[in-house]
Amino acid sequence: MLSTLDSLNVFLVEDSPEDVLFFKRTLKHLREKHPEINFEFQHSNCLKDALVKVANTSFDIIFLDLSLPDSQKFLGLEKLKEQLEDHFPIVVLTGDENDSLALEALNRGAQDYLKKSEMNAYNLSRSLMYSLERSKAAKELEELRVHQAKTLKMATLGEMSGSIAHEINNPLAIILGYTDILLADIEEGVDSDRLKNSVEKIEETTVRISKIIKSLKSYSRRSEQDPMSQIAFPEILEDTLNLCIERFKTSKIELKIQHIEPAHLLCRDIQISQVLLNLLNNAHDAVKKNDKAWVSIDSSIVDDKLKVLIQDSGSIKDESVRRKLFSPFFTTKPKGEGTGLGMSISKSIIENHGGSLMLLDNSKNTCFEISIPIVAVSNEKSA
Amino acid sequence: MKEPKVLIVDDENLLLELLTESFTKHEIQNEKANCFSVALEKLRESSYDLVLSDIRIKDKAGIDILGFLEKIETESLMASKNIVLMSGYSDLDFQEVEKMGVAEIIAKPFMPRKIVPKLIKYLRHND
Ligand SMILES: Nc1ncnc2c1ncn2[C@@H]1O[C@H](COP(=O)(O)OP(=O)(O)OP(=O)(O)O)[C@@H](O)[C@H]1O
Repeated sequence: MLSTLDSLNVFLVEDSPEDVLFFKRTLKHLREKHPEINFEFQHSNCLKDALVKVANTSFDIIFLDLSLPDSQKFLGLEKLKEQLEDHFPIVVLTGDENDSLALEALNRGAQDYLKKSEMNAYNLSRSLMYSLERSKAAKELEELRVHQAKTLKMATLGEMSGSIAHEINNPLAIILGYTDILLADIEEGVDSDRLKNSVEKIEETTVRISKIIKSLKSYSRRSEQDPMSQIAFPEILEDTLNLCIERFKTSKIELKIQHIEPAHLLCRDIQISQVLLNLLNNAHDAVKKNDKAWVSIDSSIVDDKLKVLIQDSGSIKDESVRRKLFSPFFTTKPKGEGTGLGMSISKSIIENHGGSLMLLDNSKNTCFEISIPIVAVSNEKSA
Repeated sequence: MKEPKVLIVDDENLLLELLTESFTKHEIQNEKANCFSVALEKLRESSYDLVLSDIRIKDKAGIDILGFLEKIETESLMASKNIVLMSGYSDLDFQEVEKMGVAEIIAKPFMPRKIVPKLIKYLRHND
């Protein structure tokens, strides 16, 4: 299998001169066994130097000693992984005594481990081959997943284009109709009030179309390319509340802020805020005419995920509304008022963040649950 | 001779108004309905010579275009088969709809100035 390669750029991060020498010798055996492969070899004796080399050279595989002068345990592995693409093959080198350390390294994304005492041409080539294969398979799987996600998107787009045509052709029909009347009126010399009415209708309807287009943009924008940043959930929520708290006050709806988890998310915060805002606004609209109306926000952490519950004092009894709520263009609001895109956009945003958005079935009141992965905070003051 | 009468069905109120105005301008009597259910009530109350309806309408009773056409057929609500549909887009098979006795399907958007005189011809044919 190694013979399918014609060149291999090997990088060793190791501080013990004897071990470097031994590795080189083993590699030499491998060269002799596989003269068809052009082996390149570089070496660093500390993490700092290794990181510089990795940034400037494209290696095919890295062998990493877990104990370096400037890195103990998994620091080196983590730092290197940050600079490399996912699934890049890193093989950790361990002393004899460290089986559990080696296994933990695999958990943390190393492709394989090799005990120094067992290093020989056979084991080295086995490990090389195995790591390269695993890395290739993982990459292929990833590509397949991305491809599937894209195809899925195309399918929804196909489904949606019909609704979009309908949504936009209707207001266009209105605009075309009024320009028609306008032309006839101008020819007939009608008074300006009637002309004004037509122009106003055209203006109003154009704004309606632009609203639809604006919402659609959130779908089509290649938001995968926006940078993700680490941000605390309470911050996102606060920004969001600033945008809608007045509306709640004016409508005399009690906004109950329950427990807010200080969890961190790796996310596009504007998008998450957009989702929260949409859920809050929908809840607002659903209960604004009721007595003693309230909307509540609560959160908790369950299995590395932040769960956010947005509940309102109303309930959705109509089974068909419950079913269709997440469909694009589904709205129960009067024509021109709601685009019906809010929920479907929200769902796709949360799913793009590796989470889920759903309407809970077993809740007395209307209750939406956002579930989204959290990140461990690196500057936490722990040992 | 009885004056011909048109029923316009659409859930876009502005469009209803526009079309009403166009027909009125041509001195054609017309009525409007903003969903299929209301349209059916009107058809049961009085006779119309042309129904102009959108294909995709949010109906309070959940009737869709096929249900609407079926009711017209089974209750013999239209003596003439002058049913013209408007569509911004439809996932329906047009041939299937046309089989249900529809005279024509016109695409939205359109210019009332051009379309309405064409539609009035349906009324003349019937005399
Ligand atoms: N909290 C809620 N209570 C009751 N119904 C809701 C609630 N949230 C959403 N819905 C229903 O789901 C429909 C779709 O919501 P969505 O946010 O997609 O669009 P919209 O609110 O109608 O329009 P827009 O997003 O332009 O404001 C709403 O029209 C409403 O019928």
